[in-house]
Amino acid sequence: MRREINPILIRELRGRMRTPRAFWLLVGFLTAVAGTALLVYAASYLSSDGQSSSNNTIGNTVFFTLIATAMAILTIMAPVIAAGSIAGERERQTFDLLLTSQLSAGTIIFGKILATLAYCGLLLSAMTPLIAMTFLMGGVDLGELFIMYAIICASVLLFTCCGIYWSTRANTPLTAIGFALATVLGFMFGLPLLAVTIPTIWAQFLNDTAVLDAVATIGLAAHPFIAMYLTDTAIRQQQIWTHVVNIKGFTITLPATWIICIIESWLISIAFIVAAMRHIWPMRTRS
Amino acid sequence: MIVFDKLRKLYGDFCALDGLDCTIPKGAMVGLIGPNGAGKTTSMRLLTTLITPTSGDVWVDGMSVSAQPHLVRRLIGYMPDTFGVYEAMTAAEYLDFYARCYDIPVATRPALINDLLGLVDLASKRDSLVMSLSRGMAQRLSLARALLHDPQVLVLDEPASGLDPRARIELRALLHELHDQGKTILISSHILSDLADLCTHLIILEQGKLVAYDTITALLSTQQSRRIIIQTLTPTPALYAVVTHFNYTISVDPQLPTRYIVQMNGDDAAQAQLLKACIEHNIPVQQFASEANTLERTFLQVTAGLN
Repeated sequence: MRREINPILIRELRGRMRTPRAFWLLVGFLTAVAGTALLVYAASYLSSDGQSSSNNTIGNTVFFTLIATAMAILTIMAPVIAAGSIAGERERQTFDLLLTSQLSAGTIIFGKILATLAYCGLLLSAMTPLIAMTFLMGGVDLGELFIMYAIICASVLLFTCCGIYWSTRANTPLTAIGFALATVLGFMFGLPLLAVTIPTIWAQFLNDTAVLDAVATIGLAAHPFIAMYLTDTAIRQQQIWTHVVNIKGFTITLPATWIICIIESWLISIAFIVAAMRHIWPMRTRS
Repeated sequence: MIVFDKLRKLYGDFCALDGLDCTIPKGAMVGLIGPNGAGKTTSMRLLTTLITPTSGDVWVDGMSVSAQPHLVRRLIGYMPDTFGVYEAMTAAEYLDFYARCYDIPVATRPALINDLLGLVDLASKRDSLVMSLSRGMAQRLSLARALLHDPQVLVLDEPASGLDPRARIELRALLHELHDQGKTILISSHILSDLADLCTHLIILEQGKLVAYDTITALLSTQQSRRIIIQTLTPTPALYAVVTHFNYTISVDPQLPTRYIVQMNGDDAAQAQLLKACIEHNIPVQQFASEANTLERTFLQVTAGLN
C-alpha cells in the first residue's frame, strides 16, 4: 500500500497557508531582510572608493547582511511557530482527538516539526532573488552560499525542536512561546557570554589557552552567528572542511566549524525530539 | 464488551475514581450519570486511553486499555464534550484529516465521508467551513468523525450539552439509529430525561464510587418511594385517617383542595392496598394515580447519602 504523507503535516500546511497571516509574515520577512540589506548596501557604496575590488567587498557584506538578518528573524520565528503547535491543539481542545486516533507520538511530533520547517523553508526560498543579486556584485561563491544555508537550516531545526519540546510541556501557546523564546534567547546570548568570561577566568590559572580554544571552538560552533563568522574567516583562509588546532606542540585537525555546528544542532535537536515524544508517550505505546 | 475491573485513578491525594467494577454487555446503550466531580469524565478518559489507571484496568472486547491501548483505540470512537475547531477547514476536509489519522485507505475515503455526512444530515454542508457550523451541526460532525473507523464502541461525553431542542431530538434519533446498528454506546449527560429515553443501562457514580448499575427498567422498579395523587369529588378530611393508618404522609394541594398528595414507601401491591382502603371507607375517589417514577427521582434517591 502506498505510504501517505504525514496527515499532521498536510493539515498544518493547509491551515497555515489559507490564513492571511502566512502572507503577511512572508511580506514582513522579505521587507525586513531586503530593507536591512538595502541600508547596508547604501552605506557600503557611499564609503567605497569606486574600485572593482570594493564591489566584491560590498557583495560579501550585503550577502552576510541578508544571511544574518534572515537568521535573526528565523531565530525568533521558528520557535514561536513550533511552540504554538501542540499547545495550540490543547487550547483548541483537538489534542485528545489526535491522541485517541491511530497516530503515533512520532507522527504527531514529526508532522509538527516538518510543518514549521516547511514554512521557514518557504521564507528562505523567497529570499533567493535577493541572494542572487549579491552574486552579480561578486565576493560570494556558491560553496559559501550552501554552507551558510546549511548552518541556517541546522539552527532552524534546533530552534523548531526546542519550540516543539516546550509545546508538549505547556498547556497554552503563550506559555510555550515564552519558555521557547527564553531558551533560544538564553542560548543565543548566554553562549557568547560564556565565551567571553570563561577564557578570562581560565587565564588566571593557566598560561596555555590552546585547550580552551579547542573546546571553545567546539562549544561555540553550535551558535549560528559565531559559526557563520568563524566559517567566513576559515573560507578566506581556504580552510573549508577542517580546522587545525595546536595544543602543546601537537597539531589536531578538527572538522570545520560549520560541520561541528550542524552535528551539534542535530544532536541537540534529537534530544529535544526524544524529550518531546517521551512527554506524550505514556498513552502512545503501540502494542 | 466493556469490563471496568476495579478501576482506580488517583490525582495526587485526590481519588477521582475508586474501584469502578462493572461489565457492560455488547450492544448496550449505557448512561453515565453523577454529580460534578463524580468521576464520569475520568472513566471516559481511562476508557479512551487518554490517561492510564493507577490500578485496575478496563477491557474492551478482551483487550486491555493499559497493555494494548493502540488496539483499543481501533475499537473506540470518542466524542468529547467540546468541539475542537481547526481554522480554514471545510467539513469534508475535517473528516478527511481524521480519516488519514485512522489509516483509512485513500480509495475508500471519499465515499465514506459522503456516507457519514449523509448519516448526520450534513451533506449540504460538505464544503462549508467547520467554524461556520452551528453548535448542533458541529456536534453531528463530531459524531461523524467518531464513526469514521466504524468503531464497535462509542464514547460520548455530554453530546447534547448546549444544543437547542430540535438539535437534541435529531441527535437522539441518530443515537437510536447507531444503537440499532449494534454499537455499544457509553454516554454521559446531565439531561437525565434524555438518558431515560435513550439508554438500556445506567451507571450512577458519586465521589468516584459506583453507587448503582443496572438496566433502566430494573433501577426504576426498585424505587421504593413514590407519590400518589388522589383527587376526590369534595374535600374529604376522612382521607387523612385512611392514609396515616398506613404510616404514609399526606398533604393537600394548595391550588386545589380536593387534590391530595400521598408520599408512600412500598411497591405496586401496597399502592393497591391503599386504593382498596379508600373505597372501603367510602372516600369519593375521582382520580387515583401514581406519579411515574423518573430517572431524576431515582438519581436523587441513590445519590442522596454521599454528598
